[in-house]
This record gives sequence, structure tokens and C-alpha cells, in this order.
Amino acid sequence: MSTPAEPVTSLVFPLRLDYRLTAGRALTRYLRGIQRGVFLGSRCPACGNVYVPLRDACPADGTPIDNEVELPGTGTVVTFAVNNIPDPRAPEVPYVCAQIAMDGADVEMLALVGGVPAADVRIGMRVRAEWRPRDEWGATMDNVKWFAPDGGEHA
Amino acid sequence: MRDVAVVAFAQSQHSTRDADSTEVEILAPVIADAVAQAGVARQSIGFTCSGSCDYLVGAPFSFVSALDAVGAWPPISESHVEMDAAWALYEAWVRLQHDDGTDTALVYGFGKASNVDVAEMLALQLDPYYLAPLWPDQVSLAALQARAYIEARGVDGGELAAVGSAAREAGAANPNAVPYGSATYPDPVEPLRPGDVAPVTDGAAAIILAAGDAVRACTDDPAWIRGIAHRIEAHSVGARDLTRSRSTEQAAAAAGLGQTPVDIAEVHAQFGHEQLILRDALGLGPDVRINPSGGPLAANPVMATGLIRIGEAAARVRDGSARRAVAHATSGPCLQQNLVCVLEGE
Repeated sequence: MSTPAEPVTSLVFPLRLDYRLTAGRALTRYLRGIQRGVFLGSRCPACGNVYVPLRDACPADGTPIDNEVELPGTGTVVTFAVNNIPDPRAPEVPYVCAQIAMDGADVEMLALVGGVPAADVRIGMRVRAEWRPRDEWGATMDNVKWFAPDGGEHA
Repeated sequence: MRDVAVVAFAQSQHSTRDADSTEVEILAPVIADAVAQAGVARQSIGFTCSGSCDYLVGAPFSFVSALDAVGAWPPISESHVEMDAAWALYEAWVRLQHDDGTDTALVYGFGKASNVDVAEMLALQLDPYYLAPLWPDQVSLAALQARAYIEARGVDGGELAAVGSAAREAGAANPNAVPYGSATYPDPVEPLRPGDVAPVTDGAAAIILAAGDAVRACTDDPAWIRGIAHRIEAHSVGARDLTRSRSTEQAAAAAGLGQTPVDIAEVHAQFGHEQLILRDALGLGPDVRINPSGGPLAANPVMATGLIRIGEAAARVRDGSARRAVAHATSGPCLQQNLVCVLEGE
């Protein structure tokens, strides 16, 4: 009997697929709003919920939505996490990721919180979007550097 | 068996590139149309099942976002197949057989083939150790099958070309088909020629099934599913006789096709020669009109194309232009897996 062959442990598999994706109608409107410094939401005519980013169908009941609501760009920290791991995308370390209940909307947005020592971030803290200089704006959430304390606490 | 019927069918205005819309934005009005046709409250639909492919979007669990178009709150009973939505319809049909108070089902499928080179992408469905690393695209594999079939049956070029020209003519009369002048196509590989290949298509479709008393509540002219079955063959195209489709033959027999004649057939042929192979396998004579909608050669929204065959066949039964019809859907390389559905009017 011959000895068993050595197992084959690797395989070269030259895999590459290129995609060309677009944001779609609703997200395009939202990002065009961000490009001019405005958070756009939309209100479901059936259940009354306001969604941000703007949607053109209610994710709860499927009802088409064709309106838009301008939001003030302020909100309240609902919960947060402090990250001490360096990340090239983070404006500073440690950085704080927070769920923010946006004023005028019924859903929360995930965003960075900055302009405050991480140890001082609290649930209930009032925050406001801090925009980068206007000449750096594009159709991207990078326009918003982070949410910074707006003074005060929410109940 | 519990009698189940197609009571509503809706599809998008298919296009070769819908850059403005996400999948869910294409799908939402289609589902709304189907629900409105059935005249049911969205929340009363007992079961929901979809078919789509994450590789088309390049994102895992991409089908979950499609639930935004459904209205999934309060929570619904929902399922998904990573296959053409014709198999989602099969799952819904099985679900309705339980006869446990679930009497309606929403089935939908969607895909944007323009996101990616689908012919190349489909090499990923092949066995990952031997075939996929060779990277044979879908059109090249189809060309192997076309050559094998043409040689074995002595098909002349005119017969193959006639399939494509009939599809274009029928597609021109179908308001949902991809407008011919605007369509883009995967590059053909010989012996396939440009007219033998389905256009790149973005689109979606939805069907509502009903059973029991729910049928009459939805419509006066249901298309009854008299038989539905699917069969699968070996994954490797090298392990099969490519000149015929045994799984289609077996599915057709299991679905009761052949017991009485059909007037029309809608078959999921993405290449001209596939339509000829399916014609043979389904035993369709010259009196049976194949793909009166134009078929996939006129609109091929991947993952919805098979479901649309059932919808189009049901529509012909419901509008009285056919008394009995057969619909076919396929999945896998070179007609590997095949589903046959026989539909009948009152």
C-alpha cells in the first residue's frame, strides 16, 4: 500500500466582482439634504412616525411616504459606548458612539459624540450636530464631524 | 391536496438599468399593486415568502431590507429562499397545504442585474473546488449546452434564431418588458448569437396565492394551481446529458402536465436553445404558444424571472386567452433544477 498523499491545503481562486451601486431615491434625497446642511426625515401618513434618514416607505407598515420633514439637527443621547482602540476613521481616541434620539423624529441615529471628554458623556445629554466647514461638504455623512453637547440634560 | 389559486400578479416596468431606485424602491409599488388587486388588508396576509440573491447586491442579508416594502410590523410570518421566487411560491403553496387558518400568501422576487456582471457572478454557484476556480461564466456554460443540443438534434440556425425573433416580437407588445432599443445584453459566446441571450434586467414581481374561502373573497377569476413540482439534477454540468432536461420531464410528469393539453407555456429560458430543450422536455407541440409575454429573452429580472412565468401564465388563464397553461422556472447552471406549475381556469 502506498502512503496517503499529503493533503492539499490551499487553492488559488482569483475571485473579483465589481459592483456599481446607487443610493436610490430616498437616500439620495437625504444625502442631498446633508449636502446643504439639513437633516431630512419623512412622516408616515398611516402611523405618524417620523423617520431619519428619510424613507419613501414606512418600514413598519409599508405605507408609501412622499413628504419630507426638516429636522433641527439636535437630539438626546439614548445610550453610548466608549471605544479606546485607535481607528483611522475616528477623529480622536477615545471616541464615543451614541444612539441619538433626533428631535422631531421617532427613531434613533448612530453617530459619534465629541467635543467633550468621553468620561463626561451621559445618557440624557442634549447634543447638536457639529458640521465641518461648509467648503468641505459633499453628499456624505462626513459633513457631520460629530454631535457635541448642546448644554443641558433631557428629563 | 388543498386547492390553491393565483389571485393577483404584479410586476415592475422592467428596465436594463434602473439607477434611480434601490431594490426595495422597485419592489414597494409592485407589492402594493398585488395587495390592491387581491383586495385584502396587508396585515391579514397569512404568510410571506421571497426569493432573491445577496450576490446581486454584494451585501449579506440584503433581502431583509426588502421587508420595508412589505409592512412587517406587527411581526409577520415570513420566509426567504436564496433562489428564484418561483421556489418561494412553492414554499408558500406548501404552507397553504397545512390548512391551519393560513389562507393567503404573498410571494415576491426582485433583482437588479445591472449592479454586477451576473454571468460572471453565477460562476460562484458552481462547485468551489474544481469548477468555480476555472471561472466559467453563465453564458460560456450555456454555449456548451447549446452546441451539444444543436449537434445532437440537428437544429439549424434558423430554428434557434426564430426563438429570439418571436421573443422580441412578443416582448414589443408587453408593456412590462425591457424596451428593446434600450436593452443591454451579456456578450454572446458561440454558437449563441446576440438574439439568443436574455437582456440585463432590473425588476421585481409579486403574486398573491389564496386557498379555501379566501379565493372567492379575492377574485371571481382565479387561476387554480392544478399541479406543481420541482426536480433537481447533478450539480456538475459534466455529470449530465446536456441535450435534454430530465428534471423538467420528471417535474412535468409529477405536476400532471400531459393529462390534458395546455394552450400556452411560459418557460424560464434565458437562452434560445434552452427554450427548445424545455419545449422537448415539456412535450409542447406546435399548437402550444410558448412565452406569449416574450419570456426571459424580453425581460429577465434575475430571481423574479421564474415567478413572472407563473404570473404571466396565470394572467393568460384569468383573462380567458388560455384555459390551461404551464409555467416553468429554473435554477442552477444549464437548467440544473426545474419547477413546473400547471394552471387552470374555472
